[in-house]
Amino acid sequence: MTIKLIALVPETPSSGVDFSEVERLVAELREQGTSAEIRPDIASSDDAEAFLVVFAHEPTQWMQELDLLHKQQTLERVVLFGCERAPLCLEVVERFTLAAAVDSVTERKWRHQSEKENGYGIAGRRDVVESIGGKMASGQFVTDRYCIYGSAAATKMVPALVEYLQAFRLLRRS
Amino acid sequence: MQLQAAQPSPETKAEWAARVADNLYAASAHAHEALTSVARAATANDAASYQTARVDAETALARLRQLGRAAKEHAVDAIDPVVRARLEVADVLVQGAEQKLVESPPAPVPAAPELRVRGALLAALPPTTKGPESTKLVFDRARHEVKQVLSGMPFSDITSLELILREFPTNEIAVRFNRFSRQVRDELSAMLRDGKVRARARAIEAAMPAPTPEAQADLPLPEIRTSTSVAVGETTVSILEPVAPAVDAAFAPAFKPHDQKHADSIKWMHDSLELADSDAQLIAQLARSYVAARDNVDAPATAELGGTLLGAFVRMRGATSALAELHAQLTTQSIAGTRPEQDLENAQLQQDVEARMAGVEQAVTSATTLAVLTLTPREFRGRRVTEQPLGIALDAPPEGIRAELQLELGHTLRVLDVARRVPAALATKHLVSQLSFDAGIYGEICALASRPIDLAFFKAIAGPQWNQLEATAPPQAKPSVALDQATKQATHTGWLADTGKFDIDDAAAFINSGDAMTALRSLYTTDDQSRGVLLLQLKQRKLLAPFCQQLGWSYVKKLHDSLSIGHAEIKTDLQAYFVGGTDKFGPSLDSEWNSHESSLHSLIGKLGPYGKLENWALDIATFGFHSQYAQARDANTSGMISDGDFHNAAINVANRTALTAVVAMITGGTADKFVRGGAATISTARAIAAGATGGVVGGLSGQLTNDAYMVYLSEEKEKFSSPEDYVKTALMAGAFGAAAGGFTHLSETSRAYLPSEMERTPPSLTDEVRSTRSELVQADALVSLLPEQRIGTGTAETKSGQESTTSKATAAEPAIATGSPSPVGLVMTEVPGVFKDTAPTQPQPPGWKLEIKPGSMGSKQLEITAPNGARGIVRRTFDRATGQWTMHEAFFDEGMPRWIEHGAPLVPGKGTPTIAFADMRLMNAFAIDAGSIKTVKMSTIENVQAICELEANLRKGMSLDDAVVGTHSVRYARTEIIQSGHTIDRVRVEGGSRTSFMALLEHVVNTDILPAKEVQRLLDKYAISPTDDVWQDYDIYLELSPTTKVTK
Repeated sequence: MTIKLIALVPETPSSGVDFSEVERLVAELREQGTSAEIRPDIASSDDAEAFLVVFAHEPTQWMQELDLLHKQQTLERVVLFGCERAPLCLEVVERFTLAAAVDSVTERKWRHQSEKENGYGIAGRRDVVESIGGKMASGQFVTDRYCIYGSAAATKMVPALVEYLQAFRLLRRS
Repeated sequence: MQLQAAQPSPETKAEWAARVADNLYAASAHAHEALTSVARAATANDAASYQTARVDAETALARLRQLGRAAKEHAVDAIDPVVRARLEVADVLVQGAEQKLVESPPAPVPAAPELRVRGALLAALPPTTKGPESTKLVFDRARHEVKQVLSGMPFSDITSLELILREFPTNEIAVRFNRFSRQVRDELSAMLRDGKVRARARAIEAAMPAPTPEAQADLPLPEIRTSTSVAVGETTVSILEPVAPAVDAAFAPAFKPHDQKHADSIKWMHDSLELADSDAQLIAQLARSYVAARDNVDAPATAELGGTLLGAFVRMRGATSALAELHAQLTTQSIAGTRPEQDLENAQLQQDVEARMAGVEQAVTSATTLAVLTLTPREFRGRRVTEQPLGIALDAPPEGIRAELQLELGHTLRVLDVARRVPAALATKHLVSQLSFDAGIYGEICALASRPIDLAFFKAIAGPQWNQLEATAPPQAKPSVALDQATKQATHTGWLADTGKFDIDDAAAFINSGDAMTALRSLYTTDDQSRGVLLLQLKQRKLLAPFCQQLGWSYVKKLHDSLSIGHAEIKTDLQAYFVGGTDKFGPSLDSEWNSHESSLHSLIGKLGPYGKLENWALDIATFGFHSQYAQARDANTSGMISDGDFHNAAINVANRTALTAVVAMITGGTADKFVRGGAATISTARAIAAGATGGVVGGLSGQLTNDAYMVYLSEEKEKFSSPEDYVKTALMAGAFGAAAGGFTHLSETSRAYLPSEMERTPPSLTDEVRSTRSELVQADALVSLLPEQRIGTGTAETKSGQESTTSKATAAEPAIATGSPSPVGLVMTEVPGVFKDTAPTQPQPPGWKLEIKPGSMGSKQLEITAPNGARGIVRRTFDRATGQWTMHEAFFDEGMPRWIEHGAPLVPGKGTPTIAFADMRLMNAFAIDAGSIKTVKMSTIENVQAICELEANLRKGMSLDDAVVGTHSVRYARTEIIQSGHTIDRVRVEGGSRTSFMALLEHVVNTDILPAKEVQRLLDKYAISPTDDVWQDYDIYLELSPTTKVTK
């Protein structure tokens, strides 16, 4: 089943998000067979079947202001792109119970030195990572439910993220 | 409007000069380190590492050349004479490195692996040459026997044989193997690949016995006589009694099993490294104090500090020798310990030595240069006494340099002594008559002209009094006339040569008239170095032959022996007059030299002008060895005791002497106290001896180190070295663990010239070593962190995603003071306009794109695109309510320019360091007023270098807050903190945990924050294992106070 992703871009031009980079990410996600699109970062852009890619260090304000049930359902579909560097990003994903996060080091490597980026640096749920045979980091880079990991199959961040999200979806539905 | 750069002040220029000097020495150390790696790779026959090291060395050399050129330009700006001296020897450093590159060994040729069954295989393989034996029968038998060998080989031999056959076609085994037919070769090769054969080979390999440990053959304990008294002048001082158990303790390790001896030797090697390292730093510290005392015309303090410096030099060179010797021996040995912990400790110590050895060697070279330049009276109060080149030799062997240093110290003290008496002489209008001027001050001044630099130095000291002297001097003793003559003389013999009363024309006249003896007497008024030059002048005038022919061979020999190191040409000429025939000194120079060098008196006779004093000092320093040995020697020479008895007596004396030296080490160096005689005020001569004695004692213990190794580890040598070795060591070697020398036992007068913290709390040996080591670590780290070198270099810090640092804070300086010139040339004071001109309201620096974007949680992020396309981000937050500035992260691409030129520059001509500029721009973007930040927080420190530095400091016993001061996280923030009108009051650490380093290291490598090689380098540098627990993920808080009320 095709994975659906929505890249949420703040409406305010002064947000600091580089739109061209968002477009590039979406293009690469599509190349991996996903259905990815760009929408404004507002509540009405949400789609319960989609993962929400947020370009910030933590979920958007509107997500945090949802009622408890919707908040939980929404946040567990959120992927933070360019979160704080590890291990701080693990605190964020753990605190909000997010789907995943790409830490700032990996994000910047993808943005500026994609040839050196190797797919390591995604913060994901440990059960999902185990299901795809990913190599978990250790020490402070592993928390109760999450870990920084390197994919066994994918050698670039975007394919690794898609691989993870597919497994995440399968695991959640099973 | 583009602001015009202000003209730099002399102080600013001086700071640049100091920075260039620091960078120059760091680059030199790097070059030598790389060159050492080249040699090491060649020795290890590692072709790949060789190529890498070679490229690294050439790159480092290019950098060194670049800094060498810069050093010349900046030398004139240096205020600190030590800095200037360091800059002026740039050529020496560059040439030294270039020479080392030229002399570096060629790329290794890969060697074929050795086979354990080589003999059996060669016995089985067919012969190399065709002949009668090359019959089918021979080849069949060979095939059969080779198969037998192959079937019984261990697995490692199979892989080695495959490698030989594949890659070493000229190897004898391959050559003879290839004499088989193609079919047989294929058959045998297939056999090597056969699973059963390989499985059997593995089984054979596993069943092979481990190497047997070496036989334990401890030598019997030597007789240890714990003599309890030492004669000092007319007094007898008891020294051994109170510490007698320590003697046993000191010697106990020597009689332990092999593995423990090995461990001890490694520890000694490491201690030697530490000592050489700390002494090199000590010399740098003492050099400044010495110059200060000299500039103050304080002869006793100059003497004592100079003597101490001399002692430190001797000790440093000895420790270096001990290090080199132990290193050469130990690196070829691998003795397993009985405990894994011991093996680990051995490995760690050896690793530390390997990692630091090149750097220490370079530090020793630099300290040697510094010692020579400091002790030569070439400057007074920062001004050169002559603009002419002095021709200082820096490439002499250690013994030669020691002699030169001692000579320079003696000359300097002589000049200071004359200068000290000038005011009194002028005040009493002590005008001498023409007949008696030799006895007066003018005569002494004119006598200084025998060595041009001395008179020029005196003139510099005299200042306005020079004119008074000139006006009052008798016609034949005018100082200016003497100086003119000395200057002319300098063009022939150099500024440093002391020609005494020798005049070449007078000498020629005496020789031509058959009075060579008078010429010889005047020749002996010169110094050893000048004497060789003047003899060469005689030779050029074709007067050497008649001169020597008129003298007897014994006079020529004495003249020959009196020359200093070098002068090969003239020595060869002189030898023709006393070597060779039965009517001469002996059949050969070698035999005479051996005999001559064995003579203690001869060795002592080389001590120079203070020889008598040092004779006495040596006796003290060697705890009576000198006189006791001499008595035994004399008795033997006169036939009173046999050779065997003499040998035993000498060994006993040496043993006791060595033990006493150990005691001196343990007790913190009492020998210099003996020399000082406990007097509060000491004479100039005693002061020199007190300083130098420390090194002499250390020299003996250095020799002991080598002996201990040779005797108890390698067992190649019986008991101790000959007593002569001890004396030689006393003269030219240094110390091992001795606390004598240094600044720990200086008089109050001399300590007044030391930096205040040293003067206030004279440290113990341990503290001394620790503090100098700490300083070195920090200085070393600091040099590599200077803005010019750090930013955009693609090193750990620039890519780390964490904070990097640019300024210095020592462990002994937890409360950091700003506003004073940095000892390493950093800009430590607020430069007007720098902070203001980084504001985002200012135009973009040409070619740069600096974009401030809002980040999450109230942060601001500066995204930087440099003219060359390199990018970076810096993210900060500012909490106005609490005044807290939080530094979250900073990233730079490789290739990010180091400086931004824009507005008022921090360093004219260069601009402001990019990271500092970015930080201050963000401060301005947050509308932070200068001086209004209360606290700086650096969160979740994961920078590998910072963590290593912290751990190294913690292992020295520092508290966490003190330890973090020396890390580059703290140093880094200083530039923007200072330029934004703050000073750091306190540094503290919060949070974090002490856990295994491994996870973080794997993470930084996996994310390419740091390459694995760099991680390994840092671990090696700080002797930290990846599995060690280290403090990490901590937050650092810098508490600030304002230094300015200026606002934007």
